[in-house]
Amino acid sequence: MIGLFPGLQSVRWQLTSDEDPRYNCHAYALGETQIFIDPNPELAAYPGIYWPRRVQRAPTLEAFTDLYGAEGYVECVDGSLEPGFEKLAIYVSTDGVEHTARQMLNGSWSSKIGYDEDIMHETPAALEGTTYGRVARYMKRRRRPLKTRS
Amino acid sequence: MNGAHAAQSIRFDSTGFDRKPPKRKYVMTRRPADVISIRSFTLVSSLMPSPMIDQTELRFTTLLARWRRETSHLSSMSKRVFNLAHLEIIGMGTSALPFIFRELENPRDYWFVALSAITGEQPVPPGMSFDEGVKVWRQWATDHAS
Repeated sequence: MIGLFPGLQSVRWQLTSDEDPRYNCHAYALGETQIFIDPNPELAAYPGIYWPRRVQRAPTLEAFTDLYGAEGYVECVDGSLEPGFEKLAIYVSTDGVEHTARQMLNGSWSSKIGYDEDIMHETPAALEGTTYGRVARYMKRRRRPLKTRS
Repeated sequence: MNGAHAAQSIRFDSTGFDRKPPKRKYVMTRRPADVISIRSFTLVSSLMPSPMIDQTELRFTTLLARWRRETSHLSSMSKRVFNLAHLEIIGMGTSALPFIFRELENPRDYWFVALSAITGEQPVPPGMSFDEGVKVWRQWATDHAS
């Protein structure tokens, strides 16, 4: 993990789950653990792949902003802890959106790493670098119970 | 190097296994062939799987390890699917299927694209979950077992 994300060396972090191919970081950011959110239309018919019909299918910051906007998130200035709100950090590289992390109640951040484990990391910056790029946008909404699927 | 030696040497691939499974005697020739040669390396076939199966499984597991190493941290299914190691697994064709179905017993990866590409079939209806897709493909494997 450190090899992929050197920024973890300077913060507290820990694994918080086993690896799981059923969901990715974008789904996890919305509290979903049974779907894999991906905008590629060629993958739309495959099992477990999800993208909302009303949102443009593209790996762009604008499309992912619309994706999270449809779930009640609005853009915000930074990733500071605001009581009553939950925040997302969207990471972008030259290829487009690479990752989304979500803020936890105590102000630390949680991420699903691809097919691998979930991790808790102290700051969004800890995952910035060549793998996921940089945080390009923060979004927030009023905190609500996480959705679960049986 | 005489002609007979040269003819024997080119029968072996890079791992030293003869491509003809029934053969019991192997001659592995190193360069320079006239200096070092190992003869009469006998394998007990009853204790070892077929060299051809070994080769296929070795190739599959090597590609799988590379696919995981290069993409397991990625959130983009598109990048995972178009990764060269994954495409090479698809390129193995039906010889990869036994190993993919073995992986589906405890799935750690997304195999649906490879399965459809290799078999030319998509038995999973749109909208099904990952777990439902695994069940459908397991049943497909059972139905198509020879």
